[in-house]
Amino acid sequence: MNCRDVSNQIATYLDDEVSLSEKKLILAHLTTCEHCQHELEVLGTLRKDIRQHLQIRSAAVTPSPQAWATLKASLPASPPCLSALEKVVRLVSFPGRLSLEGLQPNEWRSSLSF
Amino acid sequence: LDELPPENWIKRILAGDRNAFEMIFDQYKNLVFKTAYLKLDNASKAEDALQKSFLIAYRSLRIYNPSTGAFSTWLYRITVNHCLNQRWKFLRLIRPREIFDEGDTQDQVSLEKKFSDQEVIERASQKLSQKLRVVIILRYFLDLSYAENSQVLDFPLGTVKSRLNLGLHKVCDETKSDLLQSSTLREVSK
Repeated sequence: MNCRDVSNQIATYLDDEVSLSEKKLILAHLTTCEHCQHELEVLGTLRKDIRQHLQIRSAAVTPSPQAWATLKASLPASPPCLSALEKVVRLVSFPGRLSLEGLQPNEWRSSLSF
Repeated sequence: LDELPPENWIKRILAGDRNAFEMIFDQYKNLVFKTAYLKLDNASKAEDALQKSFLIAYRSLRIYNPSTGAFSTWLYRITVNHCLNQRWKFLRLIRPREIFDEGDTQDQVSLEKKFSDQEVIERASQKLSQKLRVVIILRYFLDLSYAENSQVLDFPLGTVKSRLNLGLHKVCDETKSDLLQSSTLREVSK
């Protein structure tokens, strides 16, 4: 593994999302390469600072106290259920994939299940 | 990530109990709102995203399948997709910000230490593309694993890995460039 390979996997390594074999290769390279050791240190610090930055930025905002009341007023009167069209869609072609009830076409993608 | 399985609440909601939906709303509203805020950079639009995401979740609740992933991951997916749709409606302008802070006299502070400067990271993050920004928010704000990130964005795991790596390097490069520019401006102003 060379410097470029390590650099390409450094975030994955820091997030502990590399495989054991990759981890061994990266560690082996790090023991002999000061440049990559430095990059690891810098990006490790930056990663912590990004976390801190996102926490600080988001701490300044909260949902409106009326958020639930607003949402409640816009919820359909009946509990969520399958529409006739959806039942047909699920039976015929995309079982479990789409909920079309009450959704605008541009909202369909948002409700795709995985 | 979570999870106290919300399946029981979901059953109650499907049976017509709106109070159960309020419990789910209370549990997730802050994270949904804050994620939308970080993505859209606007509290009013984040409020709209919060409303829309929960409305879509309510209407689509019957198709949520717990065996395919956590409820929160499904909800974040709805939120992120809504936010990405907003991108086409409201093309954001990067807000001009003052680069040179005349009050800063800490010329000798190392670049690494200066990474802790929130303003510098803010500026660097603003320059990231939407696709890189969203993986960073999901990973470093919501603490989603790469697999969960992949589920939310519907990308292969390899794409999540490469985008996170690229995003981190870009923030690093932008930060260094920003600090060098600040140093140069200070030299010129002397």
